[in-house]
Amino acid sequence: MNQEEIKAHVLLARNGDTTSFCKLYELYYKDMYRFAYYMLGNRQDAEDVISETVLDAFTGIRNLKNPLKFKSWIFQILATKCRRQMAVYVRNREHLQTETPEDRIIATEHPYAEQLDVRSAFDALSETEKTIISLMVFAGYNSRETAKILQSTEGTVRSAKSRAFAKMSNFLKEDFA
Amino acid sequence: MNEQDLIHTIDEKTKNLPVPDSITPESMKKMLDAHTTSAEHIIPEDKDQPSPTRNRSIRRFTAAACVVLCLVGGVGISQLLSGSSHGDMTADSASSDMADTPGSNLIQADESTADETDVSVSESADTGATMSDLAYQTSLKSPSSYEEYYQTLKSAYDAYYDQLSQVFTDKQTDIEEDVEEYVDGVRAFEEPMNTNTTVADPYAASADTGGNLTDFSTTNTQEETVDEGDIIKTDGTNIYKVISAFDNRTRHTSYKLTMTRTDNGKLSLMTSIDLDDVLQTSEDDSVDFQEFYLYEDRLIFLYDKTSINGDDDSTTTYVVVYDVKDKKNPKLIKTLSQSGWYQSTRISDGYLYTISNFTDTSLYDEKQYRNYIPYIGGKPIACEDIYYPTDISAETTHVITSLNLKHPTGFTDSKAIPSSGYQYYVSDSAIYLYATAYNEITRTEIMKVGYQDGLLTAGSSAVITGYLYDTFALNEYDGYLRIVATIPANNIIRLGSLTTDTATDSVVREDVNTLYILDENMKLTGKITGIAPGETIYSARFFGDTGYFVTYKNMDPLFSVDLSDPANPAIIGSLKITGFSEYLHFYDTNLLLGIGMETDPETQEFLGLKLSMFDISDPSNVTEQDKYIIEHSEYSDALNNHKAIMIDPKKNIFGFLYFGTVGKDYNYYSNKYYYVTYTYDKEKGFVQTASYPVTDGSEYEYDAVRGVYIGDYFYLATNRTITSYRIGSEEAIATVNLQ
Repeated sequence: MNQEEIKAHVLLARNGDTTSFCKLYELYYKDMYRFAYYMLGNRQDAEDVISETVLDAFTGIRNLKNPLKFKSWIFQILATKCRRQMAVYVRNREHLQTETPEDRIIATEHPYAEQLDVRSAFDALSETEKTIISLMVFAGYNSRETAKILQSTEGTVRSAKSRAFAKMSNFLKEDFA
Repeated sequence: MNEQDLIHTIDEKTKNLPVPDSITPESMKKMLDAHTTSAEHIIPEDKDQPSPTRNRSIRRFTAAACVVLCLVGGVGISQLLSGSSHGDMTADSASSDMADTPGSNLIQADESTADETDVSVSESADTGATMSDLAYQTSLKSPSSYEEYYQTLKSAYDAYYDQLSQVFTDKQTDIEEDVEEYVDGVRAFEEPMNTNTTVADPYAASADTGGNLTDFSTTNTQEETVDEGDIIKTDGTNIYKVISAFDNRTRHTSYKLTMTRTDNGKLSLMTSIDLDDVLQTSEDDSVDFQEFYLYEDRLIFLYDKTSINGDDDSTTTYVVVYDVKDKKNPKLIKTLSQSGWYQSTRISDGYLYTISNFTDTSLYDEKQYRNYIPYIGGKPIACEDIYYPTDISAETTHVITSLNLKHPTGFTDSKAIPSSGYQYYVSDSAIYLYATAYNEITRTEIMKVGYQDGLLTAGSSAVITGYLYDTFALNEYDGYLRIVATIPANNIIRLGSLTTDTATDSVVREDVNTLYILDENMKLTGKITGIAPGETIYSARFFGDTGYFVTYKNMDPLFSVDLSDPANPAIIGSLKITGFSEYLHFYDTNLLLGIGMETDPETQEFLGLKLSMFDISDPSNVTEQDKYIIEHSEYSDALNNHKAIMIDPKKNIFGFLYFGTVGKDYNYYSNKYYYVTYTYDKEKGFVQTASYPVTDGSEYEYDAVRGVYIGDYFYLATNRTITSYRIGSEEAIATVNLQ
């Protein structure tokens, strides 16, 4: 879908066209799910925030001032919802996994062992680092765009990113040996 | 492991994550349809209050969109959005269709250089260049009117969309052409340019030293004579520091510039400027302070501001000049603006060069100049200052301005150049914009804009194969641009499988590195290919006729290259040691400092941050004179932000912030931040002179930590405080609160 098509679909969605909206959603939903899954660490909550995001985005699409920013706008909504959900985890500590990232790495006899690996790596990150890495890897944003979405500065994002990658490489590096 | 590998690994490992049925587009449509039906009678009254203006604009947009829809219906989303096929188009097949667009035949720049153009064209023919290669010779022209520029942009956009579908269907052929054309690794578009061969006056790095004989640190820059902006500056008496405060509720970041007077370790906060007042932000604006400079008695702030206006939003970069002669009463003397996002700045020879990126091009209305012509200080940039290549395509436009800091009344010069580049290297005579397209073959396009006394000369560009690890991969010396690039493995895999039609993966599945030398017209004069197969470049530094660079996989070979004959560069030495360096700094004429990581050569395990001192007195026989590993260290910003390093070899001091644990009880969660300072002694090697735990602030704020020294005192500045110490002592003398 090119920019003109995206624009057209956004304008149609503004007039209540759910088909157009879902065409736009189709472009990004797999990445949105990966994003939510690795931010929150579990499938059920990821499904829930995605549904909420879709509903909010559809009903609030009039607030999207520039149609070409659809992708960053919907990821921004999703990121906000994920961070809110993470705050809930902190409040209800029983939701937090008790095992440490190191324990998890051993538990790789899972059908999706590879993805668990990445999850352990994500668990080593702070909330901000998680958000930055998720935006860059799953949404494909560069430092500048990530900075805009998080309303931070490019330099901050760049160094948080490097710090995060340094942490993650400790969990993922066996693939490079 | 570099970041690209990591991103790739994470992407690979997670892309098959099964998506639950409940969130597929079909399920979501059902949910939304159910929602809209139930909410039907609420929506029209509550939210749907279309103003006449909005209605009109919707109709207009939709109509335009439909036309294009019909043209490009079949193009894949990933191609359009990622811009990858766009790269293909500019690189190889822009030729025939683009040649038909009006204006593309007006190639010759100016008559005086026509001869040179002829020569270079025939040279290309000799080397077996194809017709499309010749058509791709890029030269720049200026439009005679905005209307002409509009037409050029319009046909370029049309051609761009048209091309995309072709690229999509003829992919196979395109790749083969690539192989042929790029077999040489580099291709220059011979655009003759007025060569600036002036030697710049040595420019006192960043401050007025008049009457003040103490030594002090300056921002660690890539080029000695070209200053770079940062969040801290000192003039040898005062420390200027920008601090930020983030409001979690409004998500608004506010910035303040603080001025602190120092007197042999004593500190007093003189004044602070609230940048929110200066930036005059309203609720709908989003503002990013970027960096600032100190030049004689002037402070120069750089920021960009995005304003939302109906359906459009536009971003403008601002340059604000303050006079701080009277430290108690700083005076605003000038505010200048140019269209686009802030990208980068430098100060060279008394001029500030500001690069912004104008991305808001929209061609719905020819009369609305603001939608496709960059504005400089409220006026559209003059036609003769717009340069576009004959293969202009749907790229963004870079706006470059110069400002005389002695008389900052208005921009001295300004140029608008469509270019995809978004990274910058600035030498003492030219600005290089570069961008990498990661396609079947990874290529980097580099465009050169010469400067002298504030006057800008749009020049040539070249495309090289490979990516650059950062701006230190580029260096200009004596008119020659030297570049080290890495060609990633997957490129070669595809090349291999295309030519042999079999899986020859085991042979070619390796990263490989190349050194290129381009002359002042960006034509290839020499290269070294096939360097360190299987490894990638981690750092580089050039000094006159010699270059050093580090590649890494299991070990860290430090290569030395003889560049004295630009046609025949040669590797003259390589030193294999464990770990790798990510930053290199000439400590004196015989010593090269490397800051990096130590790794276990067997397991690749990170063992901590590492300092290396290389003896380079004989470049063909480099030795590691000393090595220092910071125990239990995890990470330092010094590895990828040179401005985070305080370094002055003359004073024999350097320092940076790192994340790790001091003491025996080490585990991952015991890590904290420490600012450490070092000296280097020929006999004793590296000596850590002090280590300061840094604890204040949130995680974000550690990026704002900087060290400076003035005379015998060291000042540690965070986002909240400045604390003074005698150099080498860990005992605090005074602290001032900046918030």
